[in-house]
Amino acid sequence: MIDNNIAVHLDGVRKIFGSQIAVDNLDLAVPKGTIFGFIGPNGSGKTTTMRMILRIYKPDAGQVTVLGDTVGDVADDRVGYLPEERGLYRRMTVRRVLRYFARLKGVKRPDAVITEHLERMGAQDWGNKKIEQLSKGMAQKIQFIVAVISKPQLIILDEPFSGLDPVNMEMLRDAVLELKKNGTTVIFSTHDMEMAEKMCDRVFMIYKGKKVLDGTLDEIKSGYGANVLRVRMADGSPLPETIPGVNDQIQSGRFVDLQLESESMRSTVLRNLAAVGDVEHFETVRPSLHDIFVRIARI
Amino acid sequence: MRKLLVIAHREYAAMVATKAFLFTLIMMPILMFGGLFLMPKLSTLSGGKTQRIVVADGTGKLLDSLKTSADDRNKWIQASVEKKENNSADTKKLVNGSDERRGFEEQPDIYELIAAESPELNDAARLKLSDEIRSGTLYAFVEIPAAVLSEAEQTTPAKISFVSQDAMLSSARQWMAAVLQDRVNTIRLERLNLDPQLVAKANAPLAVDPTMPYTAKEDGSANAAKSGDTLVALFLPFGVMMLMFMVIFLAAQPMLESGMEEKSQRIAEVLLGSVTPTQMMAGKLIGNVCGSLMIFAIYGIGGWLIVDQNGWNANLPWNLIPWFIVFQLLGVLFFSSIFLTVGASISELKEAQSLLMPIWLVLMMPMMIWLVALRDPNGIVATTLSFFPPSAPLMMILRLASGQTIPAWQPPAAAILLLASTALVVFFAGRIYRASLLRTDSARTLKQIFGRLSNH
Repeated sequence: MIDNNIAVHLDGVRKIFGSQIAVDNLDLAVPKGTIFGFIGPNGSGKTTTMRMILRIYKPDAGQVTVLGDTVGDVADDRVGYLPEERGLYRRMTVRRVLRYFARLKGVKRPDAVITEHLERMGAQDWGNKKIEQLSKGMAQKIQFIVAVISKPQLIILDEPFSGLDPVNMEMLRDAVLELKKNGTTVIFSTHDMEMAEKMCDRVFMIYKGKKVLDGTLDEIKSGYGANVLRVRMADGSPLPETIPGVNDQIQSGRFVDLQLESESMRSTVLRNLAAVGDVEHFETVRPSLHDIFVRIARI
Repeated sequence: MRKLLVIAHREYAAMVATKAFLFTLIMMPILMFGGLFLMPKLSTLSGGKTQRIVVADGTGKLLDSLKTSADDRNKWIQASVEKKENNSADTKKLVNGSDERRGFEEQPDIYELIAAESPELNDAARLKLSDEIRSGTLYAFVEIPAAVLSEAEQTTPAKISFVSQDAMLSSARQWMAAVLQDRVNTIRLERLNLDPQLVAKANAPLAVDPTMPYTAKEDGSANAAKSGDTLVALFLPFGVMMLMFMVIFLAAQPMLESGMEEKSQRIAEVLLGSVTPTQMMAGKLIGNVCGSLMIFAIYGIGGWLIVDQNGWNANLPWNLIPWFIVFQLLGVLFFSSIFLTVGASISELKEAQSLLMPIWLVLMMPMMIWLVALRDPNGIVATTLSFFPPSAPLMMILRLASGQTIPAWQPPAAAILLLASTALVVFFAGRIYRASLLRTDSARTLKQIFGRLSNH
């Protein structure tokens, strides 16, 4: 049964390369019109999953449904793609490259669309420059235009912000948010957890080919509970090496984050700390996406 | 279909609209055929020197004749250079020492003959003269043994030694051999009381002229081939074969670079977001075939103009054009698919050399044995190679252009076999291409390339 509100649906998908399982029994549903964050350590299976959504790879098992279509291995013109490793014909001019990719995606009268995109990216003067003459940031903007030039219903961005300076990062972030505003579904992978928290409606984490997180930020954070205490002793003195009820201590600037065995241990821990010295700062901290990522990846 | 045409259009433009392509398009025929025209010009640049030759005449009867001939020759050359009219047959005999025609004209050297200190040289004298040759003060020295004139030696001729740095290729040696042969023959005949002039008349050479088959005129009479048609008949098949080689070479090479660029620059992944690997490969091959047809048209028109200017039209095998196009298209598809796959499997151009060398060698095999194949176009070697897919395009077109009758079933049979092989190559190349495009490593052996078939 195809759900019209779902842009991408993966059902028990598996992909194996030689003896290595890249993606294992993966289920995923990306709601239409959302920004969907794809996180996970290097080599966890993010790019393989995205390539299966793009039908560059065929799954060895399971089913991939994209924009309601489950048939065939023909690339879909309704899907835009910005790969992690950027690639453009170095000896072609910007306008010719954009015209080529626009025509491949079936854009009629591409020149007007190209001009519009170049102006939006502040790149109106680059049309006749060769790709090899562009800086990395400039080339990345052109690559982004390639991905969005056909006004796709679904766009997949693999590490779109890597290597960009803060100004260009902001510009690209605004462009992605505008895509969402226009109803485009955006899947993007990133290692920048702060950016993912700011932009994503839902987050999906894959680790060693398996799904380990999937939900809205609130759902994910509440799932990890409020079992972190941020404390500081009055004279800055170190905490005892072992504190009953605490699993782990992580230095966080002037503070120390204590990983509790459970939320119910907060009062016990406070009493224990007060017994060894004057507690200057004591607060319950909700784990950030970064904390959750690190916690999962350390297991 | 739209995507195929978009890719084909880009590939065609990328192939023909580059300076490198234009350069190769011009240089290729110059490198292939230019030598034939350049060699005579280059040889005139090195001619015109005075060559000092020491002669040790053990007979005591030949040096004067040699000097007289050399003087006559030198005077002729000087006079000819002044008049620039050294093309007559008499001049050639004087310059070359015989009536034998040479392949091209060159500025001849002047010979200065010097008598050796002694008519018979000892080792010390030989070493001294050899040193002079090495230092460049002497061009050569010649030892003529007395036995040369001995009648007893006529069945096993005495050897005259000609010592120089370039003895094997020396024009002076050839001239001297001819003059000495003439003079020694005369002396021998006189000793046998025979009139040398009568013997020369009796030995006048017969001319067996190579002539092409007659063609029928409109009135039914036989039309004799023009002189020179024989040479055209020899070199035209070679030219046709070279034309096909150039088209295949110029078409296949950009495929290698294209496959490699899209892999190494990570363009493939962007493209695969829009098209399938099969569409990519098919589009590239269509663009490539269009490019090859353009090359064929350029070289074909150029070749026709040369043929027309020289009045060789009658020899043109017009009936070959359909076969040429069939074998050229199949050849381009066959080799371009292989080159594209190799390009997509490697990261650097140098890695392609070891992979493509065996393929090049098989393609070029007909060029190495073209004379053998032309002498016997229906022989086992030529026939076998015209059915072996990698060598089939060049060998079959060479056989067809030879003018001899080829069994009628063979060209279509070879074309069908080549078509089937091409389809197979395109199929497997497509699978390897698909598996190789997104890999970051290089395949350095054919085994590694074929191993990718099982990994996708």
